Amino acid sequence: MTEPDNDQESGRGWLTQWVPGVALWLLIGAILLCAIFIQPWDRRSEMAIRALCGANLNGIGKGIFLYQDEHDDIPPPNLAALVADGQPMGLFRCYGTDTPKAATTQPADIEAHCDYIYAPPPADMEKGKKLVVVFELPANHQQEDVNVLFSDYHVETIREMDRFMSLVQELNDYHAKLRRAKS
Amino acid sequence: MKRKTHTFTVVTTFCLLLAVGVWIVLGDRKPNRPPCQPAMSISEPQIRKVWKAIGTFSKENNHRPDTLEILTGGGYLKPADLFDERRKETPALTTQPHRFAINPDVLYFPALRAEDPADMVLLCTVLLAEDGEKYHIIFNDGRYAALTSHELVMALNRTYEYIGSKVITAPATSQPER
Repeated sequence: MTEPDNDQESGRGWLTQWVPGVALWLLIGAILLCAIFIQPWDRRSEMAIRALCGANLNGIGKGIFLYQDEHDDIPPPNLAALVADGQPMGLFRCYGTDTPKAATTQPADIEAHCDYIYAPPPADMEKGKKLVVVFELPANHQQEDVNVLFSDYHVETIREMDRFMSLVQELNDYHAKLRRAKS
Repeated sequence: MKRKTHTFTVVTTFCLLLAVGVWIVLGDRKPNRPPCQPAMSISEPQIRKVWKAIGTFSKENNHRPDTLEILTGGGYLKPADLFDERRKETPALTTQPHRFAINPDVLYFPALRAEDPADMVLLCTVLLAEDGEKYHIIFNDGRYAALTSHELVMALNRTYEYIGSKVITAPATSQPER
């Protein structure tokens, strides 16, 4: 005579036999789904980073506009001047980098924690001329695209790196032309 | 005994899979961003060559060239020296204006003069040819440096602020270079 199986007797035999197996397969399924969806989720977060970066440049553009409005059309000498003018420091950090936030509002501290490159727009610029005012390094976004703020305060995401290089060189050439004219 | 073995296998597999799941999720939460796409950029020997050509041009003409294209036109540089060596062919020069069909793979700051501060950026790359590489810089005194993104941003902001002070607010009192 063998001892009767208590589980079978109580009708729970199939539960103990199948539930761990089902739970196991559910878990495997959940992990597979996670693995499948992680990549698109990562891609979406990249796109959000780029959009936030563009919004930062928009904010900087508004800050420059307000500064010029208050200072007889003279643009701010650097981005730190915008903080002194009331703009938030968070504007100067691209989420695509690991640059920490500036701890103080000291100009040197802000410049050391800034991800954007600012070229003061000439106040006496030729009419209709559109120059780059703020740009970032393309590496902030894996060199796939780069956000640029123009002197007419519009922000553009540029995907062609050759065009980006031409725009920045055009800015540098214009500075040279102005300096020659001022001499 | 058989049931004990079965439970042990299930629990072990469960723990193992849970660990893998946690590893995947936590691994993704780390700042583990995808690498930079390789882009066109000149190399260190090339940027040094460009600086040498600017120096030779300056000695002969008493001022720096207005554009880098002038250096190729005058025979100070070969057009290929201004472009990434991986480009299949060197872009052609247009006559009006005297420019390459696409911008050289290096940025030049022609507003700077020899007497300006030494730590201004005269030539620089802003794209990385390979992930993990540094940017190639030639400062106004001819010094070469390989900078990180953060250092380059600071150097460029310093340079543009200086140029801005010369072209925007400064009165026209400086001596002409030529």
